[in-house]
Amino acid sequence: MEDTKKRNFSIFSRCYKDVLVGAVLLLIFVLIIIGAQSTQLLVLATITAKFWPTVIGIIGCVLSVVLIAQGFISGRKLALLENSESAVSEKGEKLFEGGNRRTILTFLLVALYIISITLLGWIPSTLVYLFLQISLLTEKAKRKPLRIAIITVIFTAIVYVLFRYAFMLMLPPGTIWQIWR
Amino acid sequence: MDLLLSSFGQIITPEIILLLFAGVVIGIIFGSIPGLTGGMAIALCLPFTFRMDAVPSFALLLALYIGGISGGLISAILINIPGTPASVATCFDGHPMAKKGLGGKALATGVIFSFFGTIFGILILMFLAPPLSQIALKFGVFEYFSVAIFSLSLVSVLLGKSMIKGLIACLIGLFLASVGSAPIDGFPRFTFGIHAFDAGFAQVPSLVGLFALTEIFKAAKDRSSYHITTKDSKIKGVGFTGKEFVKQVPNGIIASIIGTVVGIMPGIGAATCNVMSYGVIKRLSKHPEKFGTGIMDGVVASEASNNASIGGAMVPLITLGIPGDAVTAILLGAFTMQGLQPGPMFFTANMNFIYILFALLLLGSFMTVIVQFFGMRGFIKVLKIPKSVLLPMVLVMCLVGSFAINNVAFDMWTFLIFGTVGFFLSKFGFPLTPVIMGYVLGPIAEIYLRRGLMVGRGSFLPFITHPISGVFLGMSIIIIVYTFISQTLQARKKNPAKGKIANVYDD
Repeated sequence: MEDTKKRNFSIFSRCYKDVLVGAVLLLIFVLIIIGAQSTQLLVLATITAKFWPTVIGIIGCVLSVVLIAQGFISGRKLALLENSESAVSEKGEKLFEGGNRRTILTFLLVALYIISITLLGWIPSTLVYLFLQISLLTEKAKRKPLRIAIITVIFTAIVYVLFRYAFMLMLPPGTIWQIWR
Repeated sequence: MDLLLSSFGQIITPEIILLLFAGVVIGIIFGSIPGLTGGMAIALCLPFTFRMDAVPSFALLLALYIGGISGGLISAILINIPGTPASVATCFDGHPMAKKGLGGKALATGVIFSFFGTIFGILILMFLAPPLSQIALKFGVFEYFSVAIFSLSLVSVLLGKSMIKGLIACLIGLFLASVGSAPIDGFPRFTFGIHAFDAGFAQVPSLVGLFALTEIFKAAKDRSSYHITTKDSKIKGVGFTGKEFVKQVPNGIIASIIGTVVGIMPGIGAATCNVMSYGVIKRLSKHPEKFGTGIMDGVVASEASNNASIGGAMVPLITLGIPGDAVTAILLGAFTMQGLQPGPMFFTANMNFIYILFALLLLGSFMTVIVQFFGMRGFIKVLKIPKSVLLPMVLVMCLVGSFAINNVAFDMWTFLIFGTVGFFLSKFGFPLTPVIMGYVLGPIAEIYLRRGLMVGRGSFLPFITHPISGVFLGMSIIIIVYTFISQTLQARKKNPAKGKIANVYDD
């Protein structure tokens, strides 16, 4: 029973993907229109700051409805095809497995890298981030930690010297060290 | 002609040649690293020119400008990440060529037609600058708005499989550009009381985030392809045959005309012309279906136009004293520092110096083609680095570049926000280019729409009754209606379910 429900939802989400995406976008564009109304306005002006986002929101709503309609028409035909080809419908990936898990981990790594750059500074953050990110993207069979560590250290050193001394660009020093001093 | 020859005589000195060479090399490096731009290179090198005379100073700055625009093609072709908005369209066919093992040919095409475009733009600047600047003066608020809308509709409609998704992607870009202080009255919009949002999202972190981070997310999802290409990408001779070059000349001319004309328009310039030119050449082609699969035509369309925009952008700068973008604004500053005042009288009062500038531009573009041509064999080695190592390295440089532009940590978050938006959009079949074009042109379209409505006292009619504006708006409507009808007819002809099922599992 549970499996049939899951399978039906899986078929629905794949066949009617554009319908679901269109619905989410419709909601976003409605929120844009609502958000635009709360913009502070210049009393004397006839065309105010809320005008442009409101126009974007209205056109977006219309296009989202068209996308939903298009998705519904093509999805209905696709659903018929999927039901007749049950073998095909088994394909799918769970949210926290395989490629999805690596994508989520990459997102978290980049977010942590940005936080770490501002806190700890560019050099230590880059050393850790590069090592972890390269390890994550490399297949287990080809993963050689020592080689990755050497690449990480050499690349970080080259970029630091190039940006800091050749291009004379600022690299984040890290707030924690400034407080320490 | 005598004046030009004597100008060459004045600039061919070891000092100027060395400055041109240094400028070109630094410009190419900045242009080719995603996150760094030619504009940043010019801003960084400007202080070095304070003590220089006018000629060596402009030798360095103009070489940086040409090198920066030309360098963008390297990352666009090899790693599918455009360093600047000027090379967005180079990715469309350049990277598929690299994946097919034709990276050398793609680079050679880009280099040669960048040179072609630069020379075309400079020649137009030399011979037609004063009359062209008069045409540019005829462009008012209505015309600028209509050109922006035309560019956006062209990009949204022509670049994706679905017109509706292209237009929605463009609207998302327009919305993201509206975050922060509103133009004209400066009231904050969609900032949720967070002051970091007040200035809006910076352009370079948004662009590199959208393309680079999306690319790394894709690599994380599917790590089966270890290298960008497993095929041999050796460069033989020039990279392509004489016959292939001759075949591309008409495309090069069309792209250069578009680049020069669009380049003249302040603010719209190189960021728009490459995508606009790609769209037009695809529309005019006998085989539009081959675009995006890795053909020379696509690389020519983008590279000839973005380099031709250099000459175009110099037209309003020299003849009217109006800078079109951040780079030309810095150049205007450099003119002022040297005691020169570009404007209507500049052409007649400084004829000698103007011709020295032309000679510097010509020599700089020769230098660029030579440096890039000999560097190509080195650039192509990037394809040998595994994606799992290359992409994190690129991401690190993108983040450094994002931070270094304004030294603001929020710009790194902008990188992450745009990357995440880009990943989800591309996962659901939305093209990314309309997002960035909407983001770049959004503020221009809004400011001119609001000004136009103010001038017309709330009426939209002047946008249609002004001839140039009316023509551009009319063309936008025709393109949208025509594409909508042709896509609907195509969908009816095909069995929609069959086509769709392939897309579902491609994701």
